[in-house]
Amino acid sequence: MAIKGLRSGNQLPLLEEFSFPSNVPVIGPLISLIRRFLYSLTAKWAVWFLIQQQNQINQMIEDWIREQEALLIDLDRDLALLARKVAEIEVCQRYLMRILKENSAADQTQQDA
Amino acid sequence: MPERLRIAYISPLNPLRSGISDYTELLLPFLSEFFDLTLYSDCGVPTNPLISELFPVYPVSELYEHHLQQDLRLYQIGNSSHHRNAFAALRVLPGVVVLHEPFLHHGFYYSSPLDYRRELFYELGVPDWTRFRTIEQALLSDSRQELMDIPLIRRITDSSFGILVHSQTARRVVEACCARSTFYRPGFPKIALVSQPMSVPNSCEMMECRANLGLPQDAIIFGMAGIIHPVKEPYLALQAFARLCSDFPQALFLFVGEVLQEAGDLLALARELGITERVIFLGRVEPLERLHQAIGACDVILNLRRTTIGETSAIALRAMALGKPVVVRNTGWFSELPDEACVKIKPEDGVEELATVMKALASSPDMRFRLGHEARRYIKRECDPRRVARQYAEFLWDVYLSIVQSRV
Repeated sequence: MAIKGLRSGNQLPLLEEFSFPSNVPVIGPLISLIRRFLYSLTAKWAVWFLIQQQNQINQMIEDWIREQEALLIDLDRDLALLARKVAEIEVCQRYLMRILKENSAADQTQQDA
Repeated sequence: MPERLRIAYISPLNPLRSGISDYTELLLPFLSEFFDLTLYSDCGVPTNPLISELFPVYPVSELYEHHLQQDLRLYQIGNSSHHRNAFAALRVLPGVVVLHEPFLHHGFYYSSPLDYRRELFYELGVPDWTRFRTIEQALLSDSRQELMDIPLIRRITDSSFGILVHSQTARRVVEACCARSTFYRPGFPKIALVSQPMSVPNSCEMMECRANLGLPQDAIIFGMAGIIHPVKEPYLALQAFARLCSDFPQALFLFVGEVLQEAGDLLALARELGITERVIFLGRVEPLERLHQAIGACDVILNLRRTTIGETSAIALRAMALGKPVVVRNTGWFSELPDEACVKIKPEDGVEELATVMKALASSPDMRFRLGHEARRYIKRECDPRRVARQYAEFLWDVYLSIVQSRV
């Protein structure tokens, strides 16, 4: 079984049946024909079924990955916003710490006096 | 209010070869008049002994440990992989960003292709792999024009408290990016324009510079300085130069800087044009005094750009500070330079037009003197590092106070 080319730039490839080529000179096409015949007699329907089933599974996984990708992008953007908010709060925290320190120092000086 | 802010200053420093290293080293002594600075750089031991003497210097990774010790973080960000760790720190520890060019494709890609994709996802939203492949191909083939509408600065505009830029062109790109953001709020982040600092060295005596470099005293010398990249159009410059060689048999062309491989075989072109003996390659010129000498030896400096990404050119400013007439294209930041202080050719002009301008400059010492004089005046007026440091100080205080007052 081979993989077809990309369906489009954005999608995973589809599974396809093996085509039974033969490189034997002269009788190669005949060998290929016999193999194809045997294949269609014994396995074709089962393989078709499996291909279809696998393609559906792949499609589901692909859709799920796309959803996760979109979700990750949203989360990354939220993270940027949160990082900014946290950083803003930290700026204020450091400011308040400084004020507190200065006030404590002033109180201490007053007490000492 | 605290009297002085403690600032974490994140930037490349020499020996990291970057224009931003020189920029920072020039600015720091003046900025330290306003702030207590701690430097974060992946430069190892700074080449400039004054820097390690005056400031504590730590690797950027230490920022994660120290982030509660400073009042604000100031990132110097440009389009190169020297900022790899700063890009990572910016994701979790935002602050004020000085965007040296509002276009970070090369910086992200050459820092980490995975991070590059992450930034593309961030900027573009749900991924379209066909588009991504086109973008990556455009990046690898350096087709900057195709990437201009995706500047890759969206995370910075989303998360920074303030953004400083050096040109109106860059400001427009940043504002457009802010307006596209999901988190857009008018007036946030704060954006301000500051001049690029440039010191004005004592005027180099041309005769002396030429004597030191072994160049003829009576030649008309055209120069191209800095890293010689294809966007600076060295091919066009040589072709235009070849056209004036018959009228000015004493003319020379001087390449002052490392010629990048991507710039092609300039020597072969010179051979093809029959001007091999007229073209001199000095290679990378160090230290700064020698670079000043090399620029000082030139009559005219060419500083063209085929595609500008909103960057300023330190070399153009340096040449202007040395009183040299500079030829630029009328595009991006270059178009914001005063007309009387440089010569501008149109963005679409080719060999013919450039050759005409070069001929005019070669034949008129008066014109060269006048342009050089105005250029030097402009740099003294606008790019004085003390003035720039004051602009930084005003902006950083403004950002700081707006955060504190909005929450406390």
